[in-house]
Amino acid sequence: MICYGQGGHKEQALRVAAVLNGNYELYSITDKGDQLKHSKLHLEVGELRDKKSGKVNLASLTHFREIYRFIKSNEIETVISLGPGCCILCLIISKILGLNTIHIESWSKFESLTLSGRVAKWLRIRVLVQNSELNTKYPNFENIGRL
Amino acid sequence: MVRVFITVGTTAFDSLLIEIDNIDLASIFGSCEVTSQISNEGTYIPKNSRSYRYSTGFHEDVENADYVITHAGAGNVYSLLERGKSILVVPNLERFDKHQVEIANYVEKHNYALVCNNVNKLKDSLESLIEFVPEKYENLNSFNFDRFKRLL
Repeated sequence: MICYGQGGHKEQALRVAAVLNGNYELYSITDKGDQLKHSKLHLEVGELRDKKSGKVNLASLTHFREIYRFIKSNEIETVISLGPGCCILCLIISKILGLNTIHIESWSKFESLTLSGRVAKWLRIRVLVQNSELNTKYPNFENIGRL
Repeated sequence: MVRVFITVGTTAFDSLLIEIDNIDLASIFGSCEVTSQISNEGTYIPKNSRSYRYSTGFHEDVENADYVITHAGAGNVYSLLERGKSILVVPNLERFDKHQVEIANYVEKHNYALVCNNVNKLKDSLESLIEFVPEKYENLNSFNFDRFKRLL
């Protein structure tokens, strides 16, 4: 299952999905927007935070159960997060269920982690970075290269 | 006829659109045609350029543009650099998360594109854009998919 957002987040998700398509059954979750072309089933859960004010949208937290059911009913084995905030719920649920979980830190980050990256680090989830500059601060995260 | 394309992605960036509207682009680029892609979340509609929120002609507009003024969304920035477009990158500081600052710093540090960190100085940046010679951006495409698949 690939979790992503709008704009650049979706562009990264598309690049991951294009390579995995054919070898894996893909599912997707996004905050807002269209389904990935290669995704079998899709769930839209709304933005966790307002991009202008940063305020947490409490209503989006109610999607916890919805995401949980989506993961369980589709027997998801691996969760790939590409940010943004809506991925945090997916990361937490995936961790609770003991699934294989990978967070790919955004290709726009060179100096610090995104909120979802920080949560993934805190949850001891595998974090892959795309820019070697981030390894200066986080040497333990594997640099997987840029999408 | 010089073609100038402005793109702000999915997040509102009205301060950039307002500032551009207040600049006489013809005095910088000469005779020019200006098109703007604006956000669904934005409220300002440019008065001095054709604009749209979404269009299937987006990629064509990018391709045809002589100059692109873009927010610092990574998807836009990498894609434009890969195409070798002459771009001015303006980080959207209206966002609370300031995510666009880091990629703007990266682009500026490596001289891949001109960066304007203050929309109030946009006119100066546009004038510099005419003369600006960027470093060539190599499309890294370095993501190690073989390694990634082994992690799944």
